[in-house]
Amino acid sequence: MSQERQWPDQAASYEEPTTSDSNRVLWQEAVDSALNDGTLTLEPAGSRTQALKGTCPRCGHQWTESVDVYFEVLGSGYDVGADGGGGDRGDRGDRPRRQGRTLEGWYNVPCSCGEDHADRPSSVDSGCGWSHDLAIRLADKASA
Amino acid sequence: MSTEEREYWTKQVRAAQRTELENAQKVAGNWKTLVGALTGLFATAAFAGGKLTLDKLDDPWAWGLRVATVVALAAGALSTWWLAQASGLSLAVVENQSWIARRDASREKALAVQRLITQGKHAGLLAAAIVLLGSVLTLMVPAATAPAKKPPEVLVVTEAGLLCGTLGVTGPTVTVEGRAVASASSVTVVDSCG
Repeated sequence: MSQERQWPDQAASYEEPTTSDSNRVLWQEAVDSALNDGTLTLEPAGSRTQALKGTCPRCGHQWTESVDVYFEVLGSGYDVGADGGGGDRGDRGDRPRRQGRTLEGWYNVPCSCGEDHADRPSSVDSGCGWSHDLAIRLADKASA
Repeated sequence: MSTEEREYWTKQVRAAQRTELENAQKVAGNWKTLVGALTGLFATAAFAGGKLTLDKLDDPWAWGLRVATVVALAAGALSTWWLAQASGLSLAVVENQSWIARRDASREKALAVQRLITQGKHAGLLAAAIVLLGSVLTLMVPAATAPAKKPPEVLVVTEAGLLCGTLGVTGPTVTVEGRAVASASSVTVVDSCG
């Protein structure tokens, strides 16, 4: 986790992290830390919805787009893991559940900064590359 | 995951987030259809015409058709349930809204739905086969033969005393249990002299 101590790094090259557990933990801790120090904020944006906005934990640039975080989305259909496949969590197949009254879930929160980053592919028009396919847990602390 | 695939599944996640009401209404519709289908099964499975018709048949046909009716009803109910499940009978809070989870869950669901369709198809075909075969048999099997009618038994009070037995006629003479009765003060039809 030595990489986290170098963040935020505005000169960071564009990088798409592999979907490993260690990278997921790294991104989770970085976002949690940013939420704690207020560089990222979750703000009410409607019924059971919040907007995640602020600066990227990795590159420190302002995100041009907030991430809409929908809590308690109702899915229909035959319930096999009910859309709760683990993917990069490595525990696919578990059922969605609510931890007490806390609204929470797993989300992709990609960097959408408008700054230039070295090595960014021409097909990508924003961001520093993180979190790519990594999903992290976000909770509505007001509901806890 | 390629950029194209990521974009596709991102759209799927967003679509799922925006179609909660449609999902809930679809599940409500599926339940409505299921209840209607289960209720309708009773009419379909009563192919033999119900108890009144079955009572007119001889054994073992009557019992065989009773069992077939029950099996057809059970198979039809299972088939209806499995196929309804495949259409979606549950609503669940989707906790993992990452695009990889959406993709993986979609593929797992597809396999589970395939299994339900196979089970529902087999049970449904079994029910249909029983209904068809049973309906044909009901038409073909002869009705039960009525038991031979016994001649009436009577209790007769004569001057000589009581006589009980089968009423008969021999030439111009009325007989009770084979004995001639010239006169009687009363004649009563009885179920049995025993």
